[in-house]
Amino acid sequence: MKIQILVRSADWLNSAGTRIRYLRLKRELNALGWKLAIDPISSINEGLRLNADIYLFSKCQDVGALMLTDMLREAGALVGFDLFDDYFSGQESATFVHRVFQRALIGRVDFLLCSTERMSAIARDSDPQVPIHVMNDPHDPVARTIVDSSIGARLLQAQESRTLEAVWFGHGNNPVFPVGLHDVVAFGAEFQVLRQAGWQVRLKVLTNSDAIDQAVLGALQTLPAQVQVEEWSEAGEAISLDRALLAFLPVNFQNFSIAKSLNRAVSALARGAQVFSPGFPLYEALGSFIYRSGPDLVDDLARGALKLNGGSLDALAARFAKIADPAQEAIKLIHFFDGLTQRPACSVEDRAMRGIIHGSSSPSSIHRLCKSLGWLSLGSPYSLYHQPFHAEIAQFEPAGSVELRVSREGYARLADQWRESAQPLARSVDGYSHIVPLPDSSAGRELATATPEMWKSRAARILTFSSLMRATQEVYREVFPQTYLLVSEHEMPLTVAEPERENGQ
Amino acid sequence: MLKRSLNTVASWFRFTRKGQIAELHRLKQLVSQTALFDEQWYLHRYPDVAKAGQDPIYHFILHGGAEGRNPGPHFDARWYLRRNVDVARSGANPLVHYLEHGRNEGRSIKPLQPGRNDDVDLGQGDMGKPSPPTEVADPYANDYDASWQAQALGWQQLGAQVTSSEPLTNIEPVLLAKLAKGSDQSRIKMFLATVPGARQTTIAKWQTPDPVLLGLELLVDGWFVHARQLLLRIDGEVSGAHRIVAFQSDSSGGTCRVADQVAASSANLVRLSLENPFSPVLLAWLASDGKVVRTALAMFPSLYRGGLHHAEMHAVSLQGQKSDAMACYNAELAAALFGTQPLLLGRIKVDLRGASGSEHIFDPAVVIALGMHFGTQLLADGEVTGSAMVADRLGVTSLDPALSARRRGGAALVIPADCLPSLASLCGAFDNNQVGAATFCIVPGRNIAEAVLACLPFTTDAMHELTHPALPLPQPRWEPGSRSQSPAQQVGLPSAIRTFDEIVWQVDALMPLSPDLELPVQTKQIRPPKLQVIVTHSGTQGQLDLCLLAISTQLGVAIDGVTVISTQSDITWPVEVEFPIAFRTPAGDTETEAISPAQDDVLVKLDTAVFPHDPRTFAALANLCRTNEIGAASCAIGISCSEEGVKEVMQAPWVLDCTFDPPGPADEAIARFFPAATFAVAAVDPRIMALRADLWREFKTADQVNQPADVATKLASLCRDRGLQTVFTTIVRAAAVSLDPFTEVSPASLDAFKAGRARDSATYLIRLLP
Repeated sequence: MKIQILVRSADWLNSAGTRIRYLRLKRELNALGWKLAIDPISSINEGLRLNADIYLFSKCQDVGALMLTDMLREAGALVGFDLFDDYFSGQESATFVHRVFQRALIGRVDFLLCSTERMSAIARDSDPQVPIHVMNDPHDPVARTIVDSSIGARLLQAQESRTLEAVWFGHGNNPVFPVGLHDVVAFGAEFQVLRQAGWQVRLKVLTNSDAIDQAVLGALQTLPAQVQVEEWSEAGEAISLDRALLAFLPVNFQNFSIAKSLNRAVSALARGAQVFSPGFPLYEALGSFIYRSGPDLVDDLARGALKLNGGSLDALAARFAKIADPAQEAIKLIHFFDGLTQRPACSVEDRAMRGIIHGSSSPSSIHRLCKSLGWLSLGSPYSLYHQPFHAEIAQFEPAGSVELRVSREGYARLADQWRESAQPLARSVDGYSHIVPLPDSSAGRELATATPEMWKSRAARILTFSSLMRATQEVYREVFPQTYLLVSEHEMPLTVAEPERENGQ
Repeated sequence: MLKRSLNTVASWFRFTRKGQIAELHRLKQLVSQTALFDEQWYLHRYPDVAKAGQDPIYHFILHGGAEGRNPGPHFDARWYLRRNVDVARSGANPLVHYLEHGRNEGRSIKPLQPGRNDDVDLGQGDMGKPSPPTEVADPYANDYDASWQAQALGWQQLGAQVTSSEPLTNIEPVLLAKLAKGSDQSRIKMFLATVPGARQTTIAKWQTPDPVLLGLELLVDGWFVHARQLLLRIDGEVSGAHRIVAFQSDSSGGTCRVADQVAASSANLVRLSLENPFSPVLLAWLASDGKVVRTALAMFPSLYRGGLHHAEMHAVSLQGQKSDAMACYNAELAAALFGTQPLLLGRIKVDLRGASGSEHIFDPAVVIALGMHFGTQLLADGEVTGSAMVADRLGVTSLDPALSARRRGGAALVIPADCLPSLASLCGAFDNNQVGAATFCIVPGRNIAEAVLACLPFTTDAMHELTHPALPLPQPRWEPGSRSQSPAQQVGLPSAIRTFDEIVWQVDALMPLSPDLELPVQTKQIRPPKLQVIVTHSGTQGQLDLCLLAISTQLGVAIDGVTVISTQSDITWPVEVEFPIAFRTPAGDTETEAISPAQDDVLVKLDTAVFPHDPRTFAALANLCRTNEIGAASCAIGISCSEEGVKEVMQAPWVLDCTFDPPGPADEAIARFFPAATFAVAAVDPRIMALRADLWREFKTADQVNQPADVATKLASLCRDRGLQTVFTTIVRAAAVSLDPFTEVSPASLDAFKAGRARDSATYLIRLLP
């Protein structure tokens, strides 16, 4: 059996999430006779063969992934999404676009993966019917000998220098929630207890470069520690964890933060760093290996006996085996997949034609995906940037009215009567060869009388998007018959109700 | 050395005038005092300077700065000049400019990205090899730092510190007792009396607020380097002093030595490692034989710059205009807190809506300090989001019994989780306190130079309910205790200090309320409000189309009719709407004659320069007007332009400022400090407003149709005459597609506001720091 994981981009292939969650499983799955491939979704444009039995989308949150899901299931594959972060709970938060996507998954997928029980419960609230599997982030093998010797050396160095080397690593910012470096600043006061006990703290912060700005750096400087900031890299994280005495991993109490996985603490412990985690007890499952308060850490430092030591490595390994063992996770995953019901594949003749209508904020990658997979790529009055669409409804001439123009490829896919009524353009402009009269329907009339004021400003788009985009969908459905259309739009809060799906949802 | 001197002197001869040589000396003095100029680094980096035997400082001042040479590894001169064109144009030496002006203005001295410093051209000639790009960047907080560092009178290195052989956690009762026997014993005894558990014995001198008691005239400045490290600048030398020590009480009820350093003649900075941010700090200058020479008692160190209550100090300074405001305020607060009178504040309730648990109020040191040093308890209140554990962080802490007893029956201060109670609230006596019930400081976490003093009075319970369901409470408020009294005045000393987080407060300038939510408007009315809408149009057909389309999408209201008033006769409107549209020209007709709304209707007046893009806008405004105490309501306006790069911002309607100047449009930068809630204002926004129909019938001034500013003024006056509020809400927004400014308020209107009672209930904002 083959599992194909499709991740958001090539960058995500190198991310900690991909490495920790999937690559560590790969060998174990292979040993059990399963193949695991991980590719960015853009590799479909480069000819990636879609011949897997099971597809898992990871950090892909756009209409391209949704349409692919429909297409792959139609072909008989099992398709699911890996849900990492809680952007969904609470109707009142600013994560509207995430909730819209979450709703789009309801009844559309064969399964969901989550990294924690809490995340699983949140997903269950959204869709009680979908099978959900909690796959813990597997840990790297613990190099016992190396870790054992370095633990003692790190403590000795700290005792001699009265300096604690600490590290924080991770994604430093979030557009919606105050997390990441915000937590470092907020909980950094915990270091004061260490200072009062005569310890100097040197904190290395490894994070994404776009999280580092003037305000954050200023705030970091207020910590009772000597702070050094570096851009995160896999190698840098490994080296830092190999050298640091402490991994500082505070967790705040927001829904988003408390649904996270254990992987940072697991990574730290596996490389011999003590974990100091004030705030929400996210790492409770790691029990006695976690420092929750400064005084506890001070006491152990005074005694010269830290929670992670040569004598507790066996217990750590046993704990990892229960919650993060790659072999066990692989077995459980296979068992879960084996329990899923597969739909029969549709015959090729019965498979739907597909098209995506681009709104004001639609990634160009969606357009390329359409071209690669033979879907119609359609422009709307809201499309900000012109792509070589198959068709576009827009105001093409200044002060002109809204028109429908098609390319040669689009012309070939028009319904017969619309192909007949299409007029060739005197010269091909922007790749369009024909102009098609708008239907004489309410949708057509609505588009014909639309003016640029309706989409130029964001406020106007908020006001008009729902009705005007619905009209656009209706017109396209009429001229491109039997085509299943979805709207690609990332600008909040522009949404339009999804048409009835192929499975009747 | 001689050669260097000669070469330097040669440079001096370019300074032909006596005054310029004096200036050169002054600049050398200035530059030599900063660690940003590294003499050895400079000579190593620019061997031509070393080769020429020139004094590096003089070289840098005379030539190097203009040539873009860096004075040290931490200052990028060329970048500074590129970034600050005005400095480059003026010809000023970049480091000198920074020391004298730039750091107070918050200017950066190097780019923030790691490694960029090495892109700088190192200078002329054989400069040696550029150092390799570094992967490491020290967190450089210069813009933050600049706001909190000392004023530009010199930057001196700290004096050599005595290396204490004892850890700072040692309790020093013996030393203090010894000190108390010497001179200045009264101040030391006063300090000892502030230690938790020792307050059964009160000091008579606390009863009168006398700043001299505290000795703070010695401490000319102070700032927090980090949350627990306070730097104090001493004014000059203390004769006979060999050593400076400082003490503070700790959480166990004892005292700790928090500073111990040599009182060197050139050192006037004392570095204190505080146990907690709030409790008093005693500084003692000791002679070589250990006797006390001088003392100073900083009662409330959090008032210093960078401290958790500094914004409060600034607000007090603005109001009092005293040169020794710090000392006076310390004395006033101390007299109240350590006196015998009942205290205003009984307890503190923390509304946990939107709390992440990482706010200051949850800091264990803060929780303990509030209990031990102020005798006040923190209680959780309101909805808990995320986890019930966040309430646990407020903890149960031991309370100072004497202070706690004086708080019994006091008022409760309800604060959002991102607030801290002010010292005025914590220390104020029950009687004669100056706390403003609706006044608080807002300190942006990302740019503390924009701190604001706000007064956002709630006037009705209904308005209090009109808050964002997930965001923090919009403001602190007071609830009477068993003594049935809260702060008497709305405007006064701040009740609380609030840390403003942009990510949390205003997440969308056009639509702060999630589209998944119905409007959280509390109303007991069953039927939707009936509206008459007047649209004033002087723009394009497209604007009118948008406006009418927006009206047609409004939810939760029944629109009886729309009247378009315009001088343009060729406008059109869609026929496919569910309400009748009438057209009127302004000449020869009054709005009141045109519209005769039924008794219980609401009238919405709208200019086509704005449109209610949020379908919940009319319902929000109409339901506000159906609230008993509200006469008129408007909403904030978001600017949404089609031009690239124009940010969406929010405009707030007219507010008064704390100096009671006439109303003007709230500065756009300040408008963002309005959290998502509903507030009383001096006047509604004439571009979009809802008003009770009965008020509209009294509104009979056709000549004001063309003066929208006066419309708002007269309406506000009318409301106040009838005991009604004019309010605005930021829960919903209307949109404007251009950046046209507000219409100016007429002089007659200004006079009306001055004479009126707007100040009793309106919203005030003033920016605190320049």
